[in-house]
Amino acid sequence: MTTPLRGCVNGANPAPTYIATLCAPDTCSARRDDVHISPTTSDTPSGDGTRSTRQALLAAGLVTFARAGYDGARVADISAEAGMTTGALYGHFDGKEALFTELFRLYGDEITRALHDAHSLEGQLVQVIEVSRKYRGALRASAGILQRRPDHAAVRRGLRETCAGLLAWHLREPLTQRDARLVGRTLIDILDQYTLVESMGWIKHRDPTDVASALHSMVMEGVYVQ
Amino acid sequence: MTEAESDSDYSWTPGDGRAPSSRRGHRTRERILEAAVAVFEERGLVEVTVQEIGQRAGVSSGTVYKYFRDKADIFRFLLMELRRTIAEETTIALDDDGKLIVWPAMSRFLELYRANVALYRVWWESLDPPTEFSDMWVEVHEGYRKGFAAALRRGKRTGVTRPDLDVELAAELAVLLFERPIYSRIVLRWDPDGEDDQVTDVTAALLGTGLGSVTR
Repeated sequence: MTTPLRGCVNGANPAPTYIATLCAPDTCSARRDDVHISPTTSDTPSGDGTRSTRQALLAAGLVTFARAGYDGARVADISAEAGMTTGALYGHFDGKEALFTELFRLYGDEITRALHDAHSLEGQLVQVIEVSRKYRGALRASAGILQRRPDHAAVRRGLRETCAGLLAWHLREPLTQRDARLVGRTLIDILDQYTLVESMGWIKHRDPTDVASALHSMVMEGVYVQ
Repeated sequence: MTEAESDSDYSWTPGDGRAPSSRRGHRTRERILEAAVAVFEERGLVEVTVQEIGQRAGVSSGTVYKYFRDKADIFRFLLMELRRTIAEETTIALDDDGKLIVWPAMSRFLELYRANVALYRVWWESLDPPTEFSDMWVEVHEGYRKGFAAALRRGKRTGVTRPDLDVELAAELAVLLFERPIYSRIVLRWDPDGEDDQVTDVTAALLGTGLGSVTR
């Protein structure tokens, strides 16, 4: 792994457009095509009605994926959730896979922006939980296809590295760059899973600020008296 | 995973009530299990058939059914064995002050995880949609969580645990440290190679006195 924080070191408070330079250029160039870090511009540009139809379908996709997972969510279920016909869905997306890909891209955009904008590690952790909760349908669908879909796994892995790099920025004081990135990966993994098992109903629902505060305190101070 | 881990509610009995009675029968069952691991690793639990497992093991489907009810029964048996091994070999001991001794247990856990990567791969794959194997996963998670919580609560009584620590939440997060990051690392192979010691250091720090004052 080469100097992951190079971009950050050059710009103390880079604007969101610099996000792609926060990671090493060699890994970033490949990743930008996958995750599309720039804000969404791919909405069909033909009037507000079409746009809101698309938004409604995306929202219905999140709800349906959260309820049924990737395999359990049929195009008919997503359309019905949006109160539309399957024809309406196919008017905007090639199918379930395309809709999922768009949802995951939106998740990637939002979590990257949120991590970038937060002013502290603890603030970042709150943001990760809140954005992941909002997109829990996309995360459940992602977990369901991760092992059998190398293309999606590559996108997910790239996003994980981006998030780890952004978390590492606030860990650079006590740690070396390599260790900061390693901790960043651990934190993003833990919170990904926390949100997933929470949405499956396997653990109890908690306030994001409590979870972030506990995790942050464990990172900095551990569980025992110094 | 910790000394306070609760006993399992799950038990496994052979398919038609017969455990292998002869040495030869035992070898046949072992061969079936090894074949099953290989086939599961290549194709996952959902698509594999008992016939394929038998073929790989060089026995008939009938022979497989002599020992196991179906493919899920084989996977159940393998998971039970894995759980037993993990419980026996990665117990996190407490030191004289009552603090968790994370390093040796975590180190061994990573080794066992690698040695059983095929089973972990299939187990993670079986979590959604929920099945008996996700129930088992939740049960293991709960066992570990209770173990960590018990150890941390005990530490509060003796004054070693941070007084302001939310024990329940810390225990939940402690379990997650042993789940998803290891899955990303060993099953998905997303991390750079050869940093097991650093990963173990980080886990030990989060379950020790943190990274805030570390200078390396």
